Order: sequence, then C-alpha cells, then structure tokens
Amino acid sequence: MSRTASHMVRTTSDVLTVRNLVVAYGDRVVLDGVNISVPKGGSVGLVGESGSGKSTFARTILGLQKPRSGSVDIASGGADHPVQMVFQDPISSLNPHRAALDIVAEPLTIRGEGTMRQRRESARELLNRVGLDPERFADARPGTLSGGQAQRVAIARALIARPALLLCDEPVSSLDVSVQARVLNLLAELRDEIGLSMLFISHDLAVVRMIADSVAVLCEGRIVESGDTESVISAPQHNYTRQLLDAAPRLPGVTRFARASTPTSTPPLPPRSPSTDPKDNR
Amino acid sequence: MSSQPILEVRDLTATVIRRGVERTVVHGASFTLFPGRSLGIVGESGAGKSMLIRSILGVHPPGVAMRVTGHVELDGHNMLALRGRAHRKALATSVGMIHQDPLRSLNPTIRVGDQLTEVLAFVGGSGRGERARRGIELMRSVGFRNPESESRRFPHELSGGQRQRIGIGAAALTEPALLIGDEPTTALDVTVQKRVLDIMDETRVRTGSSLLLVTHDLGVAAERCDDIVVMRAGHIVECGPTAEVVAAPAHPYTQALLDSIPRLDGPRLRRLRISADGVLS
Repeated sequence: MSRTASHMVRTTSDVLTVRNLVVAYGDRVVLDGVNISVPKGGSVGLVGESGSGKSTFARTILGLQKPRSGSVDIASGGADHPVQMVFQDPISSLNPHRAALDIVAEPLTIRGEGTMRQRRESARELLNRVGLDPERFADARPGTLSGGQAQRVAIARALIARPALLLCDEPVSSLDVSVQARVLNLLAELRDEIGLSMLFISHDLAVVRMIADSVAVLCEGRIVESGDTESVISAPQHNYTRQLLDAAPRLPGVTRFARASTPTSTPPLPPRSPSTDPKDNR
Repeated sequence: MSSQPILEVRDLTATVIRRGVERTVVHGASFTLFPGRSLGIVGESGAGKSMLIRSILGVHPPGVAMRVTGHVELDGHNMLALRGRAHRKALATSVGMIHQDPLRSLNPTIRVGDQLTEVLAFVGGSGRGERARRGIELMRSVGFRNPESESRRFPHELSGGQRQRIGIGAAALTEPALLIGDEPTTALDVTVQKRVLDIMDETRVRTGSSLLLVTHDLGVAAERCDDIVVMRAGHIVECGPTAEVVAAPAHPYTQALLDSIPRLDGPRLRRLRISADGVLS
C-alpha cells in the first residue's frame, strides 16, 4: 500500500480524495477498493441500488464507520466540520422541538461562533437563500413544515458552517416530483453560485444528472464505471450501467439514447457498436 | 375493443367526516376503463389517488366515516349499493389488488404458497391439492424458478421484488376482471421495478384483466398505461390517451409534472423555472 501511496501526487484542488477504500462488516466486504475524488467546486454523483454500499460509503466519509483499509482525505479548508450532510428524510433529521431559525443557527451555536444576534442574522440570511421567507418560517417547528420546506431547512443548516463538502444522501428520494424539482434546482443554484463542492448519492441516474458533473456507478461494493455524467449516460461501458439506464421508465414519443431494448413502437435505432452490447459482461 | 366497460365511474364524490367536520377528498371523478386496457392514475401526495380507489371499491380505513356519492359499476356490480358478503364476494372475484408493500399485506406466519391460494378457498370450488398445484403454477408464471421449494418460504425470507411478484400472483389468482396496482413498485430499485412491471404486464395479458395503476410516477404510468388520469387536490385535472397527454398536456399542472421529471436526455433540470407560487404550489 505504502508504495502505491508514495507514487500518488496529492492533488490539492480535490476536496475529497478516497483511495482504495475497503469497508467490511465482519466477513462481509461491502466496499471493495473504492476510489473517488471530488474537486473543489465540483459535484460528483454516486449511483447505486439497495445494497450497493452507498450508505456505508456516506457513513465512512463522515467517520462513523471505520474502513478496513484505504484512505479518506478531506481538505478541510480550515473548517472544524468540513463535511455536512443532507439526509433522505428531512423531517426526522431535524429536531422536532426547535424552531427552524435555531436549527439553522445550531452549528454556529455549538462552535460558539459570533454573538447570538450575529448567528441569528446568518441563519435568517440562509433561510432566505434556500427560498424560505424568514418572517414566515423562523419560528416554524419541523412538524409544521412540508417535506420540501424541511429539506430546505436541512440544507440551510448544512451550509451555515461553510462546509468544504456537502454530502447529500438521497436528498430528494422521499419528495414529490414537483418538490424534488425545486430542491434539485436549489442545489444546482448553490453549486453554481457559491461554488459548493458536492457528493450526491442517489439510486436515480436521472436525478444525479441534474446535479453532478461526473458520476461513479457503484455495484456490490465496487465502482464499475465512472466518468463525465453525460458520457456515462449516453455511452455506458459497463453492463450494469446499461441495465440501470434500460430499466428507467421512459416517456412515449421521447427519443432517448441508443439502447439495446427499445419499445417496439419506436423507430429502429442506429446500429450499436460492439462495446455497447448489453451481453458484453465486463 | 368491447363496448361494455369493466369499470365505469361517474361523478364520484367522496367526503371524509371527522368530528363533525366534512372534507371532500374526491370531487366528481368520472372515467371509464374498457376490457384489456390499462389506466394510470397519477398524482402527488394528497392528490386523492388512494381515496379514489377506496371509494370505488367501498373499502375504507376503520374508524373513518365517509360519504360516497355518484355511480360505480365494476364488472357488472353496482359497487356503491353492495354490502356485506355480497360486497366481499364481488371484490374477491372481480378485483385483484397489488399493494405497495406486500410485506405488510402478506401474513408473516403463513408460507407464501399457502396464502397465495387462500382466496381460492374463499371463493370455493377447489380442493386442497388443486389449490397447491395452482399456487405452484402461479409462482412459476410470476418468475419463480423453483416454486416447489420457494412456495414453502415465509414472506420475510423473500426480497422486495420477489414479494411483489407474489403479490401480483395473488392478485391475479382468480383471473379478476380488474387488477389494481397501488404504487406497486414505489419501494423498489429501478431494475427490480422494471422486472415487476414486466411481470405485471405479462400477467394481465395472460388473465385478460384490465389494469388500474395508481402511481406518483408519471414516467411509470406513461410507459405502462394506454390512458392516463391526472389528479390534483381531489380533482381529475386531465385524462386521455397516454401519448396525447404526454405530447400535448391540456392542463398546466400536467405540463409542470412532466417538466419536473428528471430526465436522462434533454436539458438539465436547472434550466427549468417553476414559480414558487405557480401551478405546483
């Protein structure tokens, strides 16, 4: 391991560098040699289905799970808590007894940053930034918020500490599609406007495409394919990626990228190159 | 297409009465489903999809008082007039229900093979051996490779996709006129979802059943259904043939739903603008 490591040039522009990560629960290896890096200001998607190891990956990044081997390097940029997380279930990830403004300000409160007035002012700014009018929402308890509103509060809380990396684990999976669209738009805006670095974990490639410049496909603990998001979607190299794309429901009359199994009602597709044949079992 | 509909719903209005307060959850819904056709009922949380299905079937959660008016004719039964055993018999013979999570609708203490054929005992006319044989045959038809041994498993010993295939098998057992899928694949991974939906389609073709597919996912409904009904806040805002609804939605809500679906092609979502107080609020 050490020989490999000595050959590696530490790219200082990466916020997160994960090398040869192996995580096991007892004898069961759930992550098997995972390599991922997130460049500063970049957004990387991690796609996988149930049991692929996505959540274990998130837990390991947060330091909640010890790896068996490999390394996780986070360029903290001076932050005490360089990674902040947005969870799938927004309501249960927020303290039900606290007002939204206090929830958002809490990371600053814990660190004793600024005066209470300054903290509350920052929290108001962030509520505003995520599209929640502070006049209306500052005193709201999580139980009175809709799923989309609660997820905005969670995003504001994650951002107030100016994290080096925002780790989103299925952040829109429990939301209705119209609410999901707005939360994704918000994350994309934040990414562009404040240069947020993001690792976006999801089972849904189409959702990842909205946010991530590059994507890694996780299957049974291994990254089977990674690269620029549009390239992976338009020309998947691995059989599993093709299965994922192929299984996604499609709207009738909408042309999609050339794929092996297409509805019989659509016109014939151009011939496929051998490398994209789904029977190819690489 | 046969002229006689399997399901005809006319001006169906459902009102929940709780502590003397009335709340109308379905407002004058009307649609028709013909034999062998599939109809998708699409809407977001709280749109009234489940209430619509419950009102059609006359199945209400315990302790909830409801008033349902209008007309529902299902496979020749006047559903709103049926009560008691006649009502249960109509449901058992004419309707196959596929729930979101079969783990919750299957009995955890009974082997899947046995509960698959339970309904045959209720409708009568077949012995124990005959029922077991049909159960195994049915499991094979929904994609189980070793149904003899797999039928002896308990629900918790099966994966989500396997359980849902059992759910489809159970729903299709009596070859009902109408299969209803209530968010049948919402909890499943996309590759498993495809398999389950494929098996649902095969099953419905095999049994000649019509399909009512309730889903929040317009993509799933559009891919699998001949016609679509779009619901919002208890109202049917749009209905019609899938291709037309998707290509040229008549209602701004349908358009907004279509625009909200993350896509694997076309522009990324961030170019989309949905006003906070626009049609989707």
